[in-house]
Amino acid sequence: MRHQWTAFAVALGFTLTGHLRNRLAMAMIAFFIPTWIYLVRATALNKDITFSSSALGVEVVASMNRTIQVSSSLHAVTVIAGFMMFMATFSARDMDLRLVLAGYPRLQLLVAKVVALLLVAALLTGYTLALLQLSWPLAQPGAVAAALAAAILAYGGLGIMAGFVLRSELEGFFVVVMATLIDVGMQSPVSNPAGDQPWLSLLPLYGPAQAALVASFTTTDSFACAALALRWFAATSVLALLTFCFRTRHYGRPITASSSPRRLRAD
Amino acid sequence: MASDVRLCISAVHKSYGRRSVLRGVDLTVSAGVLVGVVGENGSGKSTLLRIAVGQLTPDRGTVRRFSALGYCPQQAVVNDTLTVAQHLRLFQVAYRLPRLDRAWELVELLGFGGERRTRAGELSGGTRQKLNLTLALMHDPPLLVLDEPYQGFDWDTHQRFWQLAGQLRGQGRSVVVVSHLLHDLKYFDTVHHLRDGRLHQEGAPR
Repeated sequence: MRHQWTAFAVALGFTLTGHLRNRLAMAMIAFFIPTWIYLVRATALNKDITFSSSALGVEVVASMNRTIQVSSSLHAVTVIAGFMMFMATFSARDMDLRLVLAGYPRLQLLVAKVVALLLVAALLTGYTLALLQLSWPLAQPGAVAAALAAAILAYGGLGIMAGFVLRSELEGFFVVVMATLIDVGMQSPVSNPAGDQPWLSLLPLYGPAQAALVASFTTTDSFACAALALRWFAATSVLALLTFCFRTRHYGRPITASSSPRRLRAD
Repeated sequence: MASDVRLCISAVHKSYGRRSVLRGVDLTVSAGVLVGVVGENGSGKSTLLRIAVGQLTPDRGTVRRFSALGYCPQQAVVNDTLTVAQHLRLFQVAYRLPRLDRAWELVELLGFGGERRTRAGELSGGTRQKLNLTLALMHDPPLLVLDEPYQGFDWDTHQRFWQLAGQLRGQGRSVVVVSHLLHDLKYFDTVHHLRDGRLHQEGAPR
């Protein structure tokens, strides 16, 4: 049991180290998120728009400028989370396979990636929430934070899964950018004012986007709506685990001379 | 099965799509021998070694291993964001080693002791390969499977590698090395030529 904890702690420490050494991601967090929010605040139209949330069944009147700031924040954090998780998983993938072959427990390696995502989600959420609060006092900061965190977890989970499945860094980067671009565009009341397409609810940002928009301007309870994205987080995490286990299914710990021989396959 | 056999590969077949790479390979590796596997580029040497260590499954045939092993893949498999010391720590956990004395001894022996805090992504090609080899040897396993482990080594390190391989054999370790360098053949006890999907044993070259 102690070894399992050590394996988890060491894997978690080095996964976080890998994230911190992802200079592009750190630069995007430091400059991209505040710059994007600032540019929207400085340039977007400041007139009121009315939109309805199909998930929460409420109608909201809010400034277009602030609405776009919320959507842009969601876009920024999901791109960054997806990119960070993809890069960390992709760049460590071959080494992880080698570690499992050498005897490292699979579950600890993957759980460390998911726990690192939770920590990144907490930090990224707090930081982005503070930047939004500088623009205007959010109606429900806690609920907006929950929506941001859920969005980060959904796309972070997708990034981990993509890191196990895709073949190159460029593929991963494009998948993350294009997926978030479509998802945010479809969920935004500015680019998709109707927002009543039945398939919208299938997209990862459906819950977090509606929850973040409603919680930014109203006092309607939106936590359950944000939590819809956790299905994506859970599904992608499990799929990543299954993919990793499938790839390493025949890896066995080396046997000792006193044991009976291990037969890898005999037809 | 003789008690000193460490690895036994019998009638192993492997195809990639329609391309048959291995067509009935047999190889038995005993304790205290240095075995060479040679062959043309693309003849299936790396595939055979990956099957031997359990990273690939054969389409047919059996692979039996009778001891712990160390595997050095042909291309350095390291994480560019982690330092040399962090790599050793990860593999210390994987191999369940109480201490890293042997690992640091190998780092010094291979001549990259000054790089312990350097990230793998900043190491030269030869030093990445030294780290790759260290990760395979650091738990001092009875069976070593090394796929062209000295790529990018300078001549001195190349010589030190063969001295080390000789010492390990002298201590009863079994060492299987893929090589395509003619001047390395003299180091092997037996040389197996992979040709047309089969291994052909050629006499000891010395």
